[in-house]
Amino acid sequence: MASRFWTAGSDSDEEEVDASEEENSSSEEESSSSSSSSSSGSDSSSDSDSDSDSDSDSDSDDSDAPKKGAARFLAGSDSDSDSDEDRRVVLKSAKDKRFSELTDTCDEIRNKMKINDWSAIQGLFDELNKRLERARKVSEAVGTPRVYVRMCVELEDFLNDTLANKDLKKKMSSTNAKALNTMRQRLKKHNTSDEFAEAVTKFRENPQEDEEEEEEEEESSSSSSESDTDGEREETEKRPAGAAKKKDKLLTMDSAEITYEMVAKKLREIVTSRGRKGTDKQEQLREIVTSRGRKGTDKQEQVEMLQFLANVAKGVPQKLEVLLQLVGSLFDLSPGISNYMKVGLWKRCMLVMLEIMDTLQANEAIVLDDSAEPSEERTAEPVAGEDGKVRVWGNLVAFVERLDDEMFKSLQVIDPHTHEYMARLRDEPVFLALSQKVHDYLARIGDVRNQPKVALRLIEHFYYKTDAVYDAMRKLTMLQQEEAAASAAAHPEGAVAAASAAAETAAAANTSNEPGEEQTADDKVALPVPLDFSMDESSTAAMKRLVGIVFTHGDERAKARAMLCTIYHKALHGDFHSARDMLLMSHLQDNVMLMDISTQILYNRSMAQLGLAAFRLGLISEAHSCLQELYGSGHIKELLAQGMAMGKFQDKTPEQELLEKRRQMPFHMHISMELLESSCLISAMLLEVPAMASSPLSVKKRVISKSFHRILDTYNRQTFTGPPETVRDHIMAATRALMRGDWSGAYGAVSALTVWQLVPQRESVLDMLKKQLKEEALRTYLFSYSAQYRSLSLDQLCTMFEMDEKAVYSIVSKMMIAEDLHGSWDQPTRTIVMHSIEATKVQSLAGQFADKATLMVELNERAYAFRTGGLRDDDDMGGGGGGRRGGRRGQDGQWEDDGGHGGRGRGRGPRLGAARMGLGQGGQDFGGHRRGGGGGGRGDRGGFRASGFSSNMTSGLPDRFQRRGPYRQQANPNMQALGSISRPGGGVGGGPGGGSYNRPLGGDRRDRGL
Amino acid sequence: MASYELSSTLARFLDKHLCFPLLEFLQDKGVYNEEDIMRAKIALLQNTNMVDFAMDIHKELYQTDEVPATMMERRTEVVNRLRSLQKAVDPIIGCLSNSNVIRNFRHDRAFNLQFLKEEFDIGPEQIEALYQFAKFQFDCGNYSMASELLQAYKPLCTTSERNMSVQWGKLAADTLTQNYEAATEALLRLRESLDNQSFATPLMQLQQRTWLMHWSLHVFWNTENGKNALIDLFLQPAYMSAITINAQHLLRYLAAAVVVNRKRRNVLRELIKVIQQESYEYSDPITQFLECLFVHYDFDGAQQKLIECESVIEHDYFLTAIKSEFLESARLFIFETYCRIHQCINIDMLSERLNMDKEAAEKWIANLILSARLNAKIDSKAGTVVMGMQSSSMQESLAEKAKQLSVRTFTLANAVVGAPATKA
Repeated sequence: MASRFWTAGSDSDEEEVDASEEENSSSEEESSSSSSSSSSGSDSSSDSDSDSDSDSDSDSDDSDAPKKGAARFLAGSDSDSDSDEDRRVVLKSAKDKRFSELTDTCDEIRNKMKINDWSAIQGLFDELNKRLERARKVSEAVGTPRVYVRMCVELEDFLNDTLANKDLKKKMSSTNAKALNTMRQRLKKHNTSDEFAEAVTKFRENPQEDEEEEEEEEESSSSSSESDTDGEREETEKRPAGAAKKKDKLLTMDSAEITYEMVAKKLREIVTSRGRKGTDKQEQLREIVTSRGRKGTDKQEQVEMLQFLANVAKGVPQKLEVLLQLVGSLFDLSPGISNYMKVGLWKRCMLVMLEIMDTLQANEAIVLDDSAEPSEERTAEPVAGEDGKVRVWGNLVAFVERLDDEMFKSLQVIDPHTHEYMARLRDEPVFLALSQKVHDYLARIGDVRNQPKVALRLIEHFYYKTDAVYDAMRKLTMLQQEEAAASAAAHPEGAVAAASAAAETAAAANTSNEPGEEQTADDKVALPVPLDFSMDESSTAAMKRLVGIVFTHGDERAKARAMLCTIYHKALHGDFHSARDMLLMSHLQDNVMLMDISTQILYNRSMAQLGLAAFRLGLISEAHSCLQELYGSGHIKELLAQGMAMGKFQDKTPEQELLEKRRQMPFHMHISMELLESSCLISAMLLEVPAMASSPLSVKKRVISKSFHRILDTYNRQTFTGPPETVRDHIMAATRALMRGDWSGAYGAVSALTVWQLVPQRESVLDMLKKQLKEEALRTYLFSYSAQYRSLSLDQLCTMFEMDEKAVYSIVSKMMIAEDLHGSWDQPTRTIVMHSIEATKVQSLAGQFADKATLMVELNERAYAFRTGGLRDDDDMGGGGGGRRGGRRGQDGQWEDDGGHGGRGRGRGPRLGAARMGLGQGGQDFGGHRRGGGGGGRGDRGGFRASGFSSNMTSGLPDRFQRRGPYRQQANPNMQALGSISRPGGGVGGGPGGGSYNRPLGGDRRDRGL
Repeated sequence: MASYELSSTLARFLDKHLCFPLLEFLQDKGVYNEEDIMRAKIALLQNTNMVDFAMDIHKELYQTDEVPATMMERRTEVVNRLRSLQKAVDPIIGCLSNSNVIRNFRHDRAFNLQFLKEEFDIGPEQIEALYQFAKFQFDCGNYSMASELLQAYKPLCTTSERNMSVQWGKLAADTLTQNYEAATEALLRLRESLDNQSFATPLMQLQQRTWLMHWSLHVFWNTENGKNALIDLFLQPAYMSAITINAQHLLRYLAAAVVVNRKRRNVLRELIKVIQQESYEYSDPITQFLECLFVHYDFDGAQQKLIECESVIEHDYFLTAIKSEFLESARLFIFETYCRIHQCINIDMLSERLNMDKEAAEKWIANLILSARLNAKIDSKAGTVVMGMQSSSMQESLAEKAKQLSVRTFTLANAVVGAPATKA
């Protein structure tokens, strides 16, 4: 227990003083009730204090309060003895007041020293002297208060420094310089005057010992008074002078501090002679708990105190309480939400947490519970409840979450290309172990409310890990465990002792607060992975187990997140179909816009991963629809939180920027941007090139991927095309080749991309790409050049595209059936015979005319149908059928809303026949018809949909989901995708007309999207 | 073939009693070990009241005259229950058998109850007993009686849930008595109530739709127009989604129905799409056949699948009846599709494809041509079939368009002005 507290040098403390001074001001405003409860058993004193306070408030500095009490500051040996009752001695507020006035002034002087304001120092120095006089009057005793002496010494030193610093001197304003000179003279005179000279020299000789002595003295004589120690004074009594009102609470505080300090000393004795003063500890702990939230207390000091207490605590429950408080205090040490917790500190927290868990594991009767009564109200040992359980107040989950957050934050900030980052990542197993322990513990005590929270945290550590990474993590864990075991064997004290030793090292390193030493602190703190922790064999198993828990007990957000993580994980492992089913079933795409931003980011990440999975499996159109919106938005970096957008169009306020920074994913969780781009563009290419070839001149060609077209246009406009460099270049080169039907050229360009190295199944992906490219090249070739042939031999096509006969046959047949290719097979000769029909000018004009006339009739029909509802005759069978299908489709928007009635309403359609479709449906019906049959089957699934998931969610992992989406996509990609898979943006408001281009990131960015 | 055998899957969605015919069928076919099936039967019967039957099977299975005590106990239990129920329902049955009473019933259930109460002093207990009795009879395998009782009970039941149970019971009873006409009607009613029920959770609805589809197999495959009705039902959006979510294996029956039913070719595309979607979840030779034929245009593959189909169908309780029909239609399917993309086909090759000898194939094609279902000519010298070119010239298509325009305009004009017929 080499507490900094005892050895506190005057210099190092100053920074802290500074910091805590600001805090002080607010802390004073706390209600007096809390202060009274905080005072350690010295109720009477605190009461009287507050009474006198109300007096002194009015008359402020110049109060005529009794003066005799001040003596206690100086000698303090007269009245106090070792016992507890001593602390109850009513302190005379007047002497305290005098004393604190002195200290205040000293502090102020120090402040001024910092800003080099000599004129102010001069004034304050005068005041200080005046106060000293007054204090002397009050305190009867003779002697100079240490504070004062110390101030003098400091002032002198500072003066000399300033004088030595010529530059500074020159910069000073004239008044300041004048004041400096005055001060020099006065101080010289002052310090050499016999009144002080001795004290000063004595102080100079041996400031440390001096304090020690005084501590000793204090110990023997006890009582609150000896808080004379400089460091303590600074910590406890700083506050702006003149804020008289605050004085009293400070006093209470003061006494509180002193009490526990004192008790700590006693506790130190207790270490040797156990068994005394259980209640003291209790009181002390209570005190720390209450003062924790307050700003006036020194956190560092508290931590040490707690650490010490933890070692000497009596009884397991109390130890737990102390430890829990310790974790809390450790958290308090870190500087707020914008910065991350220092790694050393974090590790210390982890150690304490592990200790807590060990304790809990060892003592099954103890139940941590945040609903149990806080320890404040208890004075005696907590008694076992009726069920034989001891309830201790504490919230492990909050700690785990906080630790996780801090780790996340640190990973965000640390440069990913450094060793530091790697080292940080190595801490993950320990965290996992801790979470697992907490999780198991919660499971044991049956806390289903909190269990999912921890499970979710664990899930979020697992979901993005590929098998390789997961295995590596497992190995690392085992390795660390071995090391820990080895070191535990080496140190006979056992692992716990080693841990606490490590913690102390960390503490020592940490207190220095110097960034330079941070590194060494990290090295010193070895975080042993608990030996009883083992990771699941596969990440899939781990995920399944945890997700099950979240689904059974979690709240909506946890469920959604767990679901997204599962989707991501499944997609990552190539299980595209079930990942997609989960996504569609959960209807996450419908309401993701309503969720918090981090969930939206997770959604986008899952979407991206889903797209990549589809791509790897060769499901090109699915991959495209997953990735297109993400990529096409042009904000993919922001959407995935993998980098800040270089704002071209918008100026973000600093706050927004800060928020965005806080959302960023740590590097090791990133999805390769380049891979995403390649996958997206290649999918677009494979879809787009044959489509362009099939209708080269058509004006109304449906655009599959706008961004692809844009890039292609730019590429085509280039006057000079160099060899491909970027991803885009490569793919554009491939596109060019593919448009000529040159598959090998296209493959060459595509396979030259470096990103394929990032794909684990590189070979299979490239094979898939080759196959796809061949097929699409064949289609493109036939589209483009079939008109030039009268007949084409199957064998020739096979050799041209290096495909087997069956595949070519299948593709060509498909094109024939779809009437993309006007021709037919001649079986005996194995050739394709083209029947190209060329229209004459008149014919094509007539055709156009007929089309227009048809359009007009259709419009008329629609107008009529709109009024009366339905026109077509039953005998128009094809139309009827199409109408029925289309009708269903047209109503999709409606189904989305009333899924419950969907079945019934739709059920009516076919039986009544298209002609009697209800009023109002007519229009839609018609529209659907014109869009051409097709995807009826698709949208129909909606009937069940609106109602779908909630029930499923509750029943654990449902095996099968409601789905819609991608099918419709396939059927008719240019339909507005009604909340289908193609909308990574989340399809809120995704009614058919709601073309709102939702971006997944809400808030500030949402409005831009609209 | 057992891998494509669906009984175990189907059984999950069927009533105990409805499973029974399946087991009988399997026993006949000898796909599984006979003893296993008998044991399965006993297990099935254990929870019904057909104790005697279970005993018989038990005796047959173990070749003994001994029956386990549990069965005997169960028997006495059943008999006792029968007695007590009988006693409870006697008054109401007596009353309901009076046709005058029935005549006095109205649509209003509350009124009916009131009426019974006043006239015959029959309270809710008796009515409840009636229901229980019907259930009991059904469990005893006395299906026709159960059906009648349920019919009688129907106007008296008050809650909609009970009403659903009655309908399910009616459907099962009618199916098992092979009264398919009544069963079809019951099915239709049940379906309506399923679609109309607003209280059920989506999950329940899904479940019930799935059940309905499974139960309906019994009805549809045994009635005249059943295949049509099956296609209609299964292609209903709500039911289709139930299939894709819950029971992909039903696609087999849908596919078979579509193949067999020539008039319903128009739903083929829809079906193919679903089959493709679900192919990663479920596929069997029948769906694969369609996939080969209409997705990959792999005629050899389709041929292969067709052979597999044969044995699958043979071992399927529902499909076995339509085996030859299916094969014939499937063959025609192959041929038609083949012809659509070919202009010249070798008859030798074709006969091979069709599993016929050359002579028969030529005859078959000639028949097709004769019946004007195929626009082609046989070139017997070269041994080929030459397709007539259906290439419509530009002119024709223009004329077609114009004709269509005039028809549509005429209809529109009629609609707006009012048809002459209605004026007159």
